[in-house]
Amino acid sequence: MSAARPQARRGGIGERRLLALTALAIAVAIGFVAYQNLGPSAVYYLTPTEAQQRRIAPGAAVRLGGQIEPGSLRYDPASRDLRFIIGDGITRTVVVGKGAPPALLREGAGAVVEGFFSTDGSFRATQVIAKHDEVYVPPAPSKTPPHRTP
Amino acid sequence: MTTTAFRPAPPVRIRSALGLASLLGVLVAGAMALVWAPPDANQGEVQRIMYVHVPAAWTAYLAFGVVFLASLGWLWTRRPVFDAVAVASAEIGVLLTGLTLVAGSIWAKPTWGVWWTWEPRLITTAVMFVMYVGYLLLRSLSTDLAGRATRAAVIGIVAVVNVPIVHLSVEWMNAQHQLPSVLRPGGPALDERMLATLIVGTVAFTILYAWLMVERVALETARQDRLSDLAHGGPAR
Amino acid sequence: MRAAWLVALRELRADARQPDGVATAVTFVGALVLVESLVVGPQVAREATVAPALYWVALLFAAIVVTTRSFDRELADDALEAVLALPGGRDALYAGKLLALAVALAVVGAIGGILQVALLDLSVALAGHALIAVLLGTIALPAVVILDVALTLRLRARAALVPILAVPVLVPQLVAGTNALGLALTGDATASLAWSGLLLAIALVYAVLGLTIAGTAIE
Repeated sequence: MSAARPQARRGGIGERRLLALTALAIAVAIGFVAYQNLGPSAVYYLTPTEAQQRRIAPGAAVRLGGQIEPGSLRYDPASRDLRFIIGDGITRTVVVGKGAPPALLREGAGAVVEGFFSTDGSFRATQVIAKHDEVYVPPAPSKTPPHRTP
Repeated sequence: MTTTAFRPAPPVRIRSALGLASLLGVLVAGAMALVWAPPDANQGEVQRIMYVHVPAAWTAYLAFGVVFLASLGWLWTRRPVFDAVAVASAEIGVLLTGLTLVAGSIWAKPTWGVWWTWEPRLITTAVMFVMYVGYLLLRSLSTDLAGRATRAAVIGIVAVVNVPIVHLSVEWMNAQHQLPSVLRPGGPALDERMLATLIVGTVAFTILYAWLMVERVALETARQDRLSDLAHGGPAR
Repeated sequence: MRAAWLVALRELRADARQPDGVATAVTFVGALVLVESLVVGPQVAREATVAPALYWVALLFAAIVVTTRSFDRELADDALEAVLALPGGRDALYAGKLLALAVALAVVGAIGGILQVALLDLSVALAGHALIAVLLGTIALPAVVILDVALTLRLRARAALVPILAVPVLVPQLVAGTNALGLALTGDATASLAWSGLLLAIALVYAVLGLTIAGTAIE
């Protein structure tokens, strides 16, 4: 195997390192400023309030994220109609969908819904995803975990 | 032109010790994960997949970091052992990333409700997987050993720029994937027993990684020697 | 630095005399835009979220076409050795190719963009911002593709390897470019510029990386 060494360059190498580092520093600076200005375009989902502020048109595909209002979750296995209210503490949106909800979908917990607004202001969900936060705790003693693994 | 003096394999003691330690580690971590750690109040037993998913992810990062360092080492010194370390680590890293993705998917179905979603962290992990599979493909399609090592080293360096993006992605955007539970500004958000199990699991995975590395590097250096001998028409004296 | 200019000028002159690389790429982009729009349906293809994505995918493959052609031409002319023999030759080769290929891609990108706007009757709110995004892309894409083509120059499965190596590394650039273009279509000037800024930052990082590593990558 040949033991080729990188060519030793006279003179310019310190300059070039400086140039490279400067370019990288500029890149980081531009990136930082740019990132601050991305605004609402860089989100995975909108909260109901953001959706309202942006006046999302009915029929436009969008993702909403928020908390499911306690007492609002209803699922009818016969008709497969799913209904709940998603909110962010300020705005509430009625979500309507078809099909069984994910097992972890719980009132008071988070959810992300994909779909579109219909003309009556409710949200038609094509996909419902349960979102859980990063805190893991064991169940309180004497209470069996409410979720049963399928 | 380097002569290939006979290179003894790493002492059997070290290899057996590491192998034994790996086995023990996996058994202990497994027991803790399946029995000792409590179930989660929300998710129940399925949350235990975390003890595979998270250590696998962390160890994959470690593996690709090693690929980066070994790639630099090869480009700097042209010593074949660096190339051996790079390929060994890349292979293990690809396996671990695959395991992370599969375990994550299995965890996602009962908890989130979907096998997959187009969310930043998942995307970047999948991209990372493809990049290193590309690394291995590039190696397999090269014929000359020195050229192969150099090409792979370049890709190993370029690819590592992606790895920090994976970890940052969760913080940059509102994300489906929950924020990190351990590396988190208020401190770990885990019950103590869960945290302990997670740490033991990570240690177990790391020992396993180290053992696999030793074995794989030994295999690769033996291969290098054999091929080099063939090229020079017989073992060097 | 001077050597880089020489390489770039040489390349551009060769392109002007024998524009088959650019011509192929333009045809390729046109065909892709056409087929993409047909496959998803013109209704969907017109949407401000879809059209830019289709455009960038087409431009990405055009970048692979022009870069491969450029290196093949060097090999055919046996000119590669001459350039590499120059002091700082490998770096000059990378920098020179980056400049020349950016220009070539700008031509391809402009024609492809006009074609897409015409075919799909796209309404472009901020043409200037769209142009900025495209121009930044013409630097960002070759910065990576040149490395990948140079690395696989003498390998047989090159045609398959280059996309496999390039596409994952280019994902952030594609995301930034798609957003920048899409927001230019809908008219959000600040956000479009912000995404273009990200594209520029990423392009700078990879250009520096490419220049640094060109010494070893190009044989």
